[in-house]
Amino acid sequence: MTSTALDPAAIRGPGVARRLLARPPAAIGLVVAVSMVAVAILAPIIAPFRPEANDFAAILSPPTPTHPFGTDELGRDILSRVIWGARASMQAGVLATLIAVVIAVPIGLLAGYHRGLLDTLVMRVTDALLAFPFLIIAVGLAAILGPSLLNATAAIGIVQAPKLIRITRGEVLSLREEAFVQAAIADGAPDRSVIFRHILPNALNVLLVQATVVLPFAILAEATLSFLGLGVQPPTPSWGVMLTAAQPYLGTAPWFAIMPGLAILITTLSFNLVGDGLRDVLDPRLER
Amino acid sequence: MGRFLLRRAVESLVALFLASLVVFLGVRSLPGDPALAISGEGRDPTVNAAIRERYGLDEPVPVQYVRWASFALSGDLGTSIRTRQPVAEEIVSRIPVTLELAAMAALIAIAIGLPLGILAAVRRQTFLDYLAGSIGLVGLSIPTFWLGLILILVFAIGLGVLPASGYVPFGKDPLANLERMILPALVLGVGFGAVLLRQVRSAMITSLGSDYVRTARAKGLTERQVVLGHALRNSLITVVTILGLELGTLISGSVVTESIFLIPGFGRLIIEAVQRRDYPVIQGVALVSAVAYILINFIVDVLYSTLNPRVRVSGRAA
Amino acid sequence: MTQRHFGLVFAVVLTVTACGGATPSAPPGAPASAGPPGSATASGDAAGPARGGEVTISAFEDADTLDPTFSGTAGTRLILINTCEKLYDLDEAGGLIPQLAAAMPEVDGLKMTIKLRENVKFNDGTPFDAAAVVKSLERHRTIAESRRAGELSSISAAAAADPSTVVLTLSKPDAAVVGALSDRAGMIMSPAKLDELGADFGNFPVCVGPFSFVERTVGDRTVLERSEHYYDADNVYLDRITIRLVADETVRTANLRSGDLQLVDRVATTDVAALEGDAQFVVLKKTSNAYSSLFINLANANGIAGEPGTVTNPLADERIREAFELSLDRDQINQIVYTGLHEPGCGPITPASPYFNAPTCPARDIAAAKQLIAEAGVATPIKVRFQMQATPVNTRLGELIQTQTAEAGFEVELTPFDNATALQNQVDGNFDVSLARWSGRVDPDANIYRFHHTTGADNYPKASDPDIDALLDQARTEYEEAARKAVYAQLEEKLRARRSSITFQHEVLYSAHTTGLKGYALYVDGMPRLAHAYLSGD
Repeated sequence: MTSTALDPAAIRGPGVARRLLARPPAAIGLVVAVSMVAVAILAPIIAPFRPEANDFAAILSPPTPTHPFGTDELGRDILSRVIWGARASMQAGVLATLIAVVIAVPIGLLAGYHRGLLDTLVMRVTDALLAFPFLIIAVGLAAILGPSLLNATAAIGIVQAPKLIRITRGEVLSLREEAFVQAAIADGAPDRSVIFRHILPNALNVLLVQATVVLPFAILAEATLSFLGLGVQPPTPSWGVMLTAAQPYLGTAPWFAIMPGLAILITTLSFNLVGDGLRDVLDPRLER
Repeated sequence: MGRFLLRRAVESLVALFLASLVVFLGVRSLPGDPALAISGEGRDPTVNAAIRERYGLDEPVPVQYVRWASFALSGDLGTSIRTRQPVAEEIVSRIPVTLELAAMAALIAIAIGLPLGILAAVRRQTFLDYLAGSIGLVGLSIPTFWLGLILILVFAIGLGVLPASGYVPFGKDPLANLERMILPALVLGVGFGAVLLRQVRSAMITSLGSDYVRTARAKGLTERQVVLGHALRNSLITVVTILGLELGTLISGSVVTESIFLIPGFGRLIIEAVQRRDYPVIQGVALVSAVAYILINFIVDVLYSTLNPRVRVSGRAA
Repeated sequence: MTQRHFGLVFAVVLTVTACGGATPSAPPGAPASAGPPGSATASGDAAGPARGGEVTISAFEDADTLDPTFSGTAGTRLILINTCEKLYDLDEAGGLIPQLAAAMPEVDGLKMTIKLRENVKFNDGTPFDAAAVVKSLERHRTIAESRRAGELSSISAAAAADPSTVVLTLSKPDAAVVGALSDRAGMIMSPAKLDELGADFGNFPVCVGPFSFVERTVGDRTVLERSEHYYDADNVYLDRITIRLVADETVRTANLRSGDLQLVDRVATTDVAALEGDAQFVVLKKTSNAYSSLFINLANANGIAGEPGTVTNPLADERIREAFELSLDRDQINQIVYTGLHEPGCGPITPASPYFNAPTCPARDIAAAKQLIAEAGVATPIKVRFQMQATPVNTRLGELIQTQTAEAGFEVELTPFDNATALQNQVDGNFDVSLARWSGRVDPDANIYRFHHTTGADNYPKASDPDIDALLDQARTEYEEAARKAVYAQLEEKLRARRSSITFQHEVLYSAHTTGLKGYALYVDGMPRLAHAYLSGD
């Protein structure tokens, strides 16, 4: 992968947001993504029904004015469950990404900056971890930690960390060779200062872009883990859990499967759009 | 070059050793007794004890590791606790299946990602770019299992043109084999193709803006020569690199796909072994995947460094 | 895809499915009446069965090994039912009949004499005789890691009195032996093959059977073909059977519809109505011996192998336990979770068994439940940890039970685990309530003893009652059916009062096949017997 070393001026705040919003796809993505987060936070207020409210008289009923998305196998309102499901998916997405970043950034920074034995060790360990299909590690971790949304989130975050470590390290490696960093080192600035004032801010841009890739992936991963039976505890809804529950009813009640699937699609799409926009905005070479 | 290769080879071996350790310890930290987990219904303490004894499960972990590792080095991966069959045989019978699935998925991914990525880069910021981008994004955002179920619903049940599942070896009946692999390969390839599309577009844009290309244009080379000559070559490097890195993702994605389409491949073998706590199988399978991954990345590194000499000096680029 | 678009696609799908048809992947059979008319069948054909054709059926579970001695899975039985006959078998009503034996056994004190069918050959052509039976029985009884040893534990010796008579010596009277000999413990293996493969017999099983083993790909499929050595080969019609592992019930139905399967061994309750309404398929239904229940942790504080101890489970108090059961609505559970297709039940003996005593199951009574809780002086909400294996059906069930019991003041916390962890939790006593399903055996002792006797291998609640133990031991030794039934009636009453395992459902089996498959019936054990099945028309 080629380095995307950036012009330090490009990362200064206000210009970024403005330029991002100037691009229609990114703007749409941002609006939708923010809306999804808002939906998740405001779920208790905007959901018409409680997500666990059963109604055995109205099982698997098609969309009606009372239940715009229909009802599920226990008569619960699908719209409300999709809204509440945003919480689980957002939590999985945001938290997993945070966990991955919190683990990856310090390790990547240190490995890339100091090189030597630490770097070799980190490289080999991440090699070892990356060698396994993520799902296996996630399933194993979720089994060890016990079933819960939090543990599934942690598992996903931990599994994403090695890749982020490599990316961070790669960025640090090339940033280290940049003129302004070499100048700071030559000036005699202490390591900590170089890392925090010069390298980290620039590496953050790449990480930001990567985070917008990891986040939707984490949402999909939560859905897949739920599909395999690990993750959120019933009766808490998550989009993945709803898709699993809807599988037997694909022929008889298709709306049950469509809505959560669409929700996943739209959310991941919007975050990907934002990520794309950020990448376009923050890489000055693309401006030419 | 020789020193570089040697260093990389040693590093790969270390990674392999670490990977085997991770698997061995990881598997033993999963809750649940293997003898109990594979026993199905009706607990029989006598049989469980005999099984634990036969596989040495009560011995100290380092002793177990050394025994397993030394057998593994000579090619003996032990026997499955569940089926009592040699692990190596089970793996060998499944590898070609997953390889074929991965290869077909990769082909589909390249067929989608490469042309669309180039097109998007060349026609940047135009409608075509957005269209290609959207296709890519949708491909990235679709849950695999959802797509798989929809495809079965439409093609196998609705239109009846393709079988819903199963696997026939290519040697036995090539047409039947392809019939059964096309849907799962499509499911896997779509997501992968989306990733490829974005990376190709990004790499193409970068190289199209590079000094070399500007010089070529100034020298009067046609746009086609510029694009297909220099820029494309750069994209191919990207494709190769990503293929190597994403191999693990491909196998992960194949787990769900193989379950839905009933392909007796590697992915399913792993997930079922994990669920049954069949230690020898999990260890064997994980080891083989690790070997494959590390080997492929070693080859990719070698290729990359021959194409880009700067890498050799500063170490791995990414 | 918007909802409307999906509706359109779905409409297209329905139309195409209704108009087109999935034809079985079998070549047309030979002209009719090649032999005597097929034996009594559920779906007979006027012209008489034609020989020929191949059938692909589903197996809901993968076999661990095809060796009857070591097998622990139903998946093995799904395959061996057509290639490895047993001393006894089931008839369509669920009673025991001789298969490789010539008649039901004669019991004289501790001696059991079994006369064998004559002129029988194994599928490798070697002769079937008493020596072969003794060799197999000894292997089942004594070889290390045999899973049949427990089932045959009351047999102390087996000997061949003459080439067609086997005499078993029992260490104590055991009415469950014949039932055990109607499953894997009664499967007789070819001595020649046993000598050749030893402990690897499962790689290429050879027994007496209408079909012989061809090959197996673990985790995928097994292939059997018609055997010329079978003693009733004239009445076997299919050329080949392929048994494919299809673990997901939705995928099973999809494959039936697409024509990749001609027979589905287990149909999801959610698919039954649609298949019944489809003229291309025949849906079969049979009440089985399987049942689902809730284990309540009474004294498992140190693991099932440890000493009983005090647990923190609020349901360990019998009044709270009773209140919990009274807040359940078995009919509603059946309706909502199983589409009303199973049968509510409250005991380990189902209507499929001749020992079924038809008890009246307690109706839901919230008022009584609340009163019991008040009497016990426990504050509500009462927190209960409910563990189960994570599947969509179990999730449905758990959520429903949450709602039902909440009305009485229980707060059920659902904890789904993956299979291995859930099993381990039961063993370790790491549960208040644990959901369990038992696939059912033909003999009632096999369905009850292990769960309810103090020394039972699956007594996860660690329940212990000397009266119950005594009744269990007595029922085992009672050969006479009416007397045995009476003992079970007494026993079940006590079990219902103890509530260490609250049964809520008796399972009904649903199977489906294409109309082209004839001569097939569904048996109580759900095993797909294709010996006299044949293909005809479309």
